Amino acid sequence: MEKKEILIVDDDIVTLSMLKTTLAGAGYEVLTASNGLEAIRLSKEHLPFLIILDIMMPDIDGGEVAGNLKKDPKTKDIPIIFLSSLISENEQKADHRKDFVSLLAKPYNRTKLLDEIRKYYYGTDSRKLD
Amino acid sequence: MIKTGSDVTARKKGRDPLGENEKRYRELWDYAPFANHLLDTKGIVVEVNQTEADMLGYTKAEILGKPIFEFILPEQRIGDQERFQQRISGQRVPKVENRIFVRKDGSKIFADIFDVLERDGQGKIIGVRATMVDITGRKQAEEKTKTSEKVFRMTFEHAPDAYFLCDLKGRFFDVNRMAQEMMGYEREELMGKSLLELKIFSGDHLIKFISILAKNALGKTTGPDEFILQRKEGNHIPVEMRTHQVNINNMPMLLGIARDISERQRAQEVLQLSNERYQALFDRSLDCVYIHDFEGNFLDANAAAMNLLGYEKADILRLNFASLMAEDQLPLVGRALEELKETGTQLSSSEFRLRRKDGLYVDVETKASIICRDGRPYAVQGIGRDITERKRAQKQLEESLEKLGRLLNGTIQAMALMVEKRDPYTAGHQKRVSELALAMAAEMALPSDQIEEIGIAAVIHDIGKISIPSEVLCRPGRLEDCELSLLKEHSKIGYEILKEIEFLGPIAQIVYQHHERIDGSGYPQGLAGEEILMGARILGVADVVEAMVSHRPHRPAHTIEKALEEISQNKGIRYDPASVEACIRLFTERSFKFKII
Repeated sequence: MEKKEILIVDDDIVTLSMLKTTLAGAGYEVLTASNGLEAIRLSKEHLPFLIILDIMMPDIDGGEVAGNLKKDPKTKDIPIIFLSSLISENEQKADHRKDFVSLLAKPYNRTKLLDEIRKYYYGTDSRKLD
Repeated sequence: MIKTGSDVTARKKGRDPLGENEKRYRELWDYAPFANHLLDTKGIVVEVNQTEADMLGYTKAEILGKPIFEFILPEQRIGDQERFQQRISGQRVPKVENRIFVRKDGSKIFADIFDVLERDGQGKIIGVRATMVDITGRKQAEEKTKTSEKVFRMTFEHAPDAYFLCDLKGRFFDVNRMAQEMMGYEREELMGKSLLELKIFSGDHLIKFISILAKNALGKTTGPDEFILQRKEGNHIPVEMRTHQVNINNMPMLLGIARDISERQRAQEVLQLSNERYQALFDRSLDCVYIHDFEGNFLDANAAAMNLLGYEKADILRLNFASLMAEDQLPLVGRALEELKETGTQLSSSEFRLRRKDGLYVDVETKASIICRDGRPYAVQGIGRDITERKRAQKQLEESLEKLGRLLNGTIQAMALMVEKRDPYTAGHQKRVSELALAMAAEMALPSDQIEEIGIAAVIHDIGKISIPSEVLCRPGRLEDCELSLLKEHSKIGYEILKEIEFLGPIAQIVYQHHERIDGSGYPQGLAGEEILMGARILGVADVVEAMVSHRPHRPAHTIEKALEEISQNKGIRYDPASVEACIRLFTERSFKFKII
């Protein structure tokens, strides 16, 4: 487990910088994209180990970005955490990790987000990274 | 100012200003935009204005002095009387809404009532004054809304598709029966929960649904999109889903409509399977399969067809069926198309000669039928088979049969010659008899194969003489009895020689019977009438006539007249009448002459 690069995608620059701070602080390398097209391009170029993806974005929405990446054998197994205000607290509980998909509500809970990333990083609930 | 002026005028005139005002007040009250009445402590109407009288459809006189309860709907009457008693005794009672009055014409009106207690100078309750507002119009509108809501509710509930209302975050607000059935959850389990929460979608379908959430949040309509939905029990069904943003009580909501498409998908699968099967047959068939429109323009053709005609697929799609054919074949196409239009399927196959790309011709046997699209005939599909080889083989067979025929003919000629070489006096006799017998058979209009067999039999009818000693055959003068009986053996011997040969007709039998006579006086079997073959009857006549007009060692030649006299005298006795008549006609009317001398 060497690659610690995470791509964060959000059209809101405030969310983007907050996420970047959180993740960099936790020791991850962070890539950012502010729209869907950029997200797809960066994913294919960098093959990050995980993507945090907003849903409501102009032009190409998060669902479409994910759909595109899932069609490409190179990127189809990159875990995607959808982070959106469209997702409710209760919906976060639905476990889709076998499809490499997680749902998190926005505004996000820092601990919960880092936990979710760790689950993908280690494949377990362990918290060795910190 | 005017009012003051008029007041002054009224005072000046010395009239009672109070009485005037009272009257004006009465008029105002009478025609106020609300109904008003005063009841005494027993509920009897003691005052009523014109508006109320109009509202109830009675005259004021008809109302005055009657209890107000008489005008109230019987079902409400008792309740209203109780309320009135409580009111009059000073108790607090709720406001009256939706009081229903029955008008004089029987129709109902709805009214809201505002009432106050009427007291005398000492504060004692002396009655109730009430103002009523007609709310019938509003009530009816409400009823109408309720009804249309009921209708909508029913339509929603019993729709054949799953309908669900969600807030913009996808949480269920309402679902119909089909939606519950489709997802396998009860309404109560769904309320307030969302599709994401219930894990209705997973994998690619989850991601697709997330995209729909994004579009809905922006107020966009989506669909139809196909999803695989996971039911509560865990099984999956394919659905087609659309979503629309709607306003319910000024709140933006999502109306989702989902349809179970399992049946449709199954039908599509069956269709696809049958398409695949057809395609496999089309591609791999050894026979040509082609489709052309009703003008003959090719729409498709399989590999076998391309191979047969030597064209590439792109070439053939630019060609017309008729352009591959020689001019003289075009009417055949027209006929085949006509048959198709009448029957839909050709009953018998057609044969065409088609030109390949390299200019060579191929013979093709085809059978076509009309194919339909959306229930309408749109093209002709034909199956063609290369029959060039079969045609060639057929021609070869015909040729070899002809060759065989020539060979047989040659053999017969050789056999005839063999006899004639040993019997110089009868040299050419058989050929001439054959010539006459053929002409007679033709004159009698016999079938051509029968004519042919008579010709063959005639040319070798004396073959049996090969076993008769030359001395007997060649000796001039009358023959001894024993010699004569030896000579008579030749018919039987001829039969013995020929019977093993596989002729097409009864050649051997005709030879056997050519000396039989219809009266039974002939030999060797003494057959009579119809027992003797037609060929033998004709041959018998031809043999006698030819023999008589020929020179013989024991006598000179007779004239043809003498010969015809002989046969006509014995017509119907020794000789077959039809044969005799034909023979006579030949010589007298058709001027028959022996060509062979």
